[in-house]
Amino acid sequence: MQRIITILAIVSFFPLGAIIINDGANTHNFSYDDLLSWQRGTIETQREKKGEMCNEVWRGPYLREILKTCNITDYNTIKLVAEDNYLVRLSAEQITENNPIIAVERDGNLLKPEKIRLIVPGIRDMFWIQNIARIQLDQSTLPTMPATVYRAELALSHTPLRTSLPPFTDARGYFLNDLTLGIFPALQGDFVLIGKDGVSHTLDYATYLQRAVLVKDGNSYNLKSPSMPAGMWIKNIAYIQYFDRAIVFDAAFSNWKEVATLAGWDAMNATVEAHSPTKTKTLSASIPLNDAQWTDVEFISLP
Amino acid sequence: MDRRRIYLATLILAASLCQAAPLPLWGNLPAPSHIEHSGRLDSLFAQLNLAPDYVIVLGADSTAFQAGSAAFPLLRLVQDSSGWQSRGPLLSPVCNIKNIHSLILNLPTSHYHLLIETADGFSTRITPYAALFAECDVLGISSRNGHSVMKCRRRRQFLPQMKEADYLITTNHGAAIVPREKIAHAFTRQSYYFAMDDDTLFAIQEIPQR
Repeated sequence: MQRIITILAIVSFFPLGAIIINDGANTHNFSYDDLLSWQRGTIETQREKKGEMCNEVWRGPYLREILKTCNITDYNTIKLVAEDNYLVRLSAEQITENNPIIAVERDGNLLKPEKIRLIVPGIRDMFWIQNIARIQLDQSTLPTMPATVYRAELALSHTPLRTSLPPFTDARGYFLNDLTLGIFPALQGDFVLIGKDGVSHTLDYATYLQRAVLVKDGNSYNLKSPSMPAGMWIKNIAYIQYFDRAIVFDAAFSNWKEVATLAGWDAMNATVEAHSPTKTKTLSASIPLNDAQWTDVEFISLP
Repeated sequence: MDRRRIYLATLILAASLCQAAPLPLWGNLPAPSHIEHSGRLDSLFAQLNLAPDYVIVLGADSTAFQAGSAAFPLLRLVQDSSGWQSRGPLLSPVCNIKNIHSLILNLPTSHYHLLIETADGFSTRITPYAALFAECDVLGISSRNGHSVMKCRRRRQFLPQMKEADYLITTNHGAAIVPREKIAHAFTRQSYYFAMDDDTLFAIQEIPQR
């Protein structure tokens, strides 16, 4: 009963459609009515829905204007978090180039408070989150190039495949911790996760990944987490990075050059230092990852 | 002659008094350890037969940074009358910490990690290094000359997250069933291990409720 009263109190205190904007020092609250009162911009989009092309007209206040009102003009990235924890990051460049809106209207009809939605024409619609709860300045800064890169499949080969991955049913694979505990010195802070299709998320480990699992799907793994909305789960996880250390899933790549491209590394030398339990050798980065020379290589170090 | 000897002895005594106390090493260590002399970080660790892959240099004022082993040759620890300092002129300026409290080492193998299991079968383990890192907030990452370091500030005491339940704990004196409140009250993170009262704590397992 007490829990219900608490939930009702929270709901009544934070009405649906309200957005909290935090610049690290100050907090600004915008109600649904506040958002309706702003001058609206228009964005026309075309996207595929259920196999059919769909044209839509969205209207709502420009995100840039909202940020400006909160004196947020000097930033690299902002985080938009939905009520269900769905998280999207937008760089200042993406905001300048695409001029996104917080849509309160679609095709001439007002959206319900819980349906107000971020519309960014330049990025895939899976990132157009709805029911936005918070907008925050993103303070995380990750180095673009790791110093060491571990190979996931080899690291996981030391752990027996789990046939139970609670709370997911009928799933075989591993807890993400089975992989990360032995490689990263601490599981805290922002981790970069990239799928084979290039979908990238930077997620706080404690919030999103503590109970994540790697579900085996043929030779690849799908990352799911009970604390992530299903839309954020990563199919065919290819790359994980924290601080200056990364993990690659071999099955997603042919060679290290492909890894560098997907992960957005600044540059990659022609050779890498390859470390196996017994020796360290120098190998060409263009040798296919399924070549026997990589068989016992646990990790590589990059200059 | 006697006067010269007395002078020399006084000088040696004064010099030894001016030396800072040995610098304690914390983290994933098999036993307590410390650094006694100034030197390059990689050499100092090699002298102690330690091969950490990361280190957190923690200042007495709670400022800290984490660096990987590739940066160790570029970091010097200097001992003087005011205490221990870190200097890394080729690294990010955050690597220059005055009055160092301790160095926290991550050795790839942890000797005294804590196993935590929940009632639904999920298990994880936390090392002393990870627990000490969890006491810090990450303020940012800066890179210089190809070396990234993480700037941190220590802000809290580590306590594992546990829900209201009974737990089976395993210490060096055996196993016992205790409620969460007892763990929260008696748990401490020591410099290189976890403790319950005076015992070394190895595991906390949630007991499923009937």
